[in-house]
Amino acid sequence: MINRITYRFIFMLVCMCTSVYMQAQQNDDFVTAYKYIQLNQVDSARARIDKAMRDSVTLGKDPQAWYVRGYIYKVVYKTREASDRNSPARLQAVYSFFKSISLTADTGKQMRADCKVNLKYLAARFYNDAAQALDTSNYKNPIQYFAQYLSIMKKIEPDMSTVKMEVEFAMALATTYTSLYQANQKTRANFLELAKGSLAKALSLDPNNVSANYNMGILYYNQAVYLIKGQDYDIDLTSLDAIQDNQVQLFKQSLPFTEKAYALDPKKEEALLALSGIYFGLNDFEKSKLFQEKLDQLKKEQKH
Amino acid sequence: MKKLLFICLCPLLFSAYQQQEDAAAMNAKKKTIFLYSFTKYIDWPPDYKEGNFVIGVFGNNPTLVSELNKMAATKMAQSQKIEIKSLNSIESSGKYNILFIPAESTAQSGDAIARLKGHGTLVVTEEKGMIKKGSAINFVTIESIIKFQLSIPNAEKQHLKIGRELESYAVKTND
Repeated sequence: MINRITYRFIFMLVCMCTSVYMQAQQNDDFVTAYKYIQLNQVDSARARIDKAMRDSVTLGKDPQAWYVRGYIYKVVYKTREASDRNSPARLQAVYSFFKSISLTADTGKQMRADCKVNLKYLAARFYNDAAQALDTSNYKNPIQYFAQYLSIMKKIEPDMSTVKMEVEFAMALATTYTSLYQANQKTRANFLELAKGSLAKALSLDPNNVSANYNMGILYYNQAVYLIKGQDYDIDLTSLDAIQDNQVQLFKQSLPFTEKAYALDPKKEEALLALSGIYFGLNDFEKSKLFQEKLDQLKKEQKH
Repeated sequence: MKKLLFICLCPLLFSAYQQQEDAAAMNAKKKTIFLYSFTKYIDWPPDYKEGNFVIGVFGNNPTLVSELNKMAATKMAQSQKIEIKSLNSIESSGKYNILFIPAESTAQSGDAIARLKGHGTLVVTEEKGMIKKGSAINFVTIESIIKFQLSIPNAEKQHLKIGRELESYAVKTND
């Protein structure tokens, strides 16, 4: 059943494609494809538009023909492959809209604008796929989806800042890597490094991000604690000495990030707790107590 | 055209605050490793090699006691089963292979070391100056790392024989 939105699309399409329809009316395949999509017969429309574009040199150079192709593939994607995150139709739609833009002369502002609207829609679907697919069992594909989102957006809106979304994605990715690491810390140390890398990327884009600073601090902190937590009671004292040495380095690496998170957000209880823990780990019990007292005070204030 | 909304990653971020591991438990683990190591390098008098190998912890230190109990559940002191006792007072009649007096309980321990003088008890402390007060082993922190001082004379007063390897791990300090 064709819904209201599809009718609106078709209406738009009819208005926009009158000229190409006129120019291309000699091409039976194009005309048939056009009719099929109006009838919502998407598979037939796809077959015909591809044949038309393949066979006609003229259509291959026509931005409006590429727009129609993009639209047909977008409908194919929405109706047939919406749940397929690797949808070939979506990629074809993106390709066609970009091709249309590349062939559109400066006079075709409306055509460019319409292509951009469709590309923004497809980019948003890539972004949402990245967000939805991001879990511990599937962490590689979201990176690719997010890259596709960025690639489209940077081409159609070169002045638009994608920093906020890049930071959010890097942090979400770091969370996934951390979960993977925590599931088996002995065999998955590489995920810890990936988590650090993701947070470092977030911080390079937004150095004053409280969560990124805090999470980076906690990654180092937890790594330090785990060094001893995961040990057997049988380890010799030389090994224990070496572990303690490594721990001190990690606690010291944790400190600047956690201090910055606290400086940026003095009401952040987690940062105070972490600072107390870091100094406890460094066996500086006075400072540890100082931050614990600050935390207690903050909790009191927040109660009132 | 229907506007597609971006799925917000924020809920993921808000739950993304990493859980902080327990630093106190970490220190308890270190001390447990130390205490267990001491059982390998020290020779106790014959009557202390019978029955359970008792490690007493003076004062209220549930984190350390819990960690020691975990160790005791899986390890032996030579052929002896390890038993952990949390002590509110130290009786001179008590038989402890190791007595650990944590820093926060040192003030309450009074003359406990003197009362156990001549027993086969390894007294382990973690307060500056405790070697001078008769402790055989005293934990110290040097550049954020826990190490230990060792007094052979104090150990010998308790009829304990210290292995050379343990001596090599100990730090030399003047207090």
